[in-house]
Amino acid sequence: MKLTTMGLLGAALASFAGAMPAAAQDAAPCELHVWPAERMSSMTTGLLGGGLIDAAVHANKDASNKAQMASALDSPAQLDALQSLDLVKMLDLPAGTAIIRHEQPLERKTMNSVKTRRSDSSAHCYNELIVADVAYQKAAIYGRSLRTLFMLRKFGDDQKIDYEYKAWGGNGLKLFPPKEGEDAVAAMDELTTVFKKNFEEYSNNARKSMGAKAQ
Amino acid sequence: MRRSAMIGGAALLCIVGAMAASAQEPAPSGCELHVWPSAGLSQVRQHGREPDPRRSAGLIDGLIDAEIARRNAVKDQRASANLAEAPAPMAPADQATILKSAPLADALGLSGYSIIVHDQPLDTRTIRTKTTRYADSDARCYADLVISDIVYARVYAHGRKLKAFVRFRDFGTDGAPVASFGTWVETDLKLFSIDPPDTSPAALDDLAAAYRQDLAAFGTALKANRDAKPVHS
Repeated sequence: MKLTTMGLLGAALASFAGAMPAAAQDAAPCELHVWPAERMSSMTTGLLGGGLIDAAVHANKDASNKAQMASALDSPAQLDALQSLDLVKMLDLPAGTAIIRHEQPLERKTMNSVKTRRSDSSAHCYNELIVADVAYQKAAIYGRSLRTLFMLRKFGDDQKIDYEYKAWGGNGLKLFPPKEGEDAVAAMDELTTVFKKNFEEYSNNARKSMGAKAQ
Repeated sequence: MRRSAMIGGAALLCIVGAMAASAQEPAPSGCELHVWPSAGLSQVRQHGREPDPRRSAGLIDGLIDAEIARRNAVKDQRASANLAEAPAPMAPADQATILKSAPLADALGLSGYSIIVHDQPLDTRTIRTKTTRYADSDARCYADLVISDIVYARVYAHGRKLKAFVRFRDFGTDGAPVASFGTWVETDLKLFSIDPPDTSPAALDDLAAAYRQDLAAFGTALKANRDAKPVHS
């Protein structure tokens, strides 16, 4: 008897659990589509302050930096880093907003020119978070930093952008780039940590901007 | 029918799994070094003029940066197209062939280890996040070597290079690494080029030689790191 009751209860629970994803979808009509960055850049300027001679001196280091950034922050790594954060809360989106990953970056040159939805979703509540650029820079005065350009676009239920916020987040680096021949793993891991910090900075500013617009 | 297909698929996976790695004769020590190639050749270019990410305002600066970015993008896209059209230089199978003939045990200071070279690369998330043995091996002692990235670099004023990021983990007889080391190494390319494209047999030999040289350079860097910071007490 007890077994039968438990069996029925178990079956009922299984049915409920099976129905959950569809119900969750109905209750969460909002979507946040996320794209990683395609473009990595590295710019080292020395005491010459830029120009072709300075570029020639630092070009190989910058090429190495780009290769390391592309490795440490490849598309899955960028998306994993962002998904490890509470994107919905940080971007002040409705609770239950579904996060949809796009593994292929958008073409950088179309970033500003395309003003309609970048996915074929017809969700009634639709948002996009695009990582546009990841840039390392080292300057004689400013030191080393990683900057990331993010863009948030909110559409509502049509193809028209209701709200857009595009800004850089940037933070200093302590380990990256590693010195030649030394262990590079910690320095490359630092890129992911700072990438997340950059998003935190960006999202703080985005919420302020949204708050100002709402007033 | 569907179940049969799944069982067939599982059987196929087992066969593929068995084919995916090739080993030398089992070493008397019972120790194994597992080696994975990278997913393939990627490319990076560093131009003489790059758009300055610090400049975010100003009409003139903006126009200059936009023009620099446009010109660089044309060159980058041409190089990417050339790479895509090339007959997959340094595909994982090509790398595996080189890795099987390279003196890895000596280069890594693991004499007596049996070398198992896997034909398929690990996915990047596994490399980043898995802290236990990548291979499903219960060898008494174990180490792994991952060619994480190989990058064709064309660099302003520095020419063409093959850069490689190599990761090594030595587990000894433990379940967690007792030592790990990963670094970038690079070798100048004399013939191989993707801009303009040169994938002639001689150029591909040049690329393969640079790959072998990168492996040797990694061995040297690992030894220097061990000498500076002994890990086996």
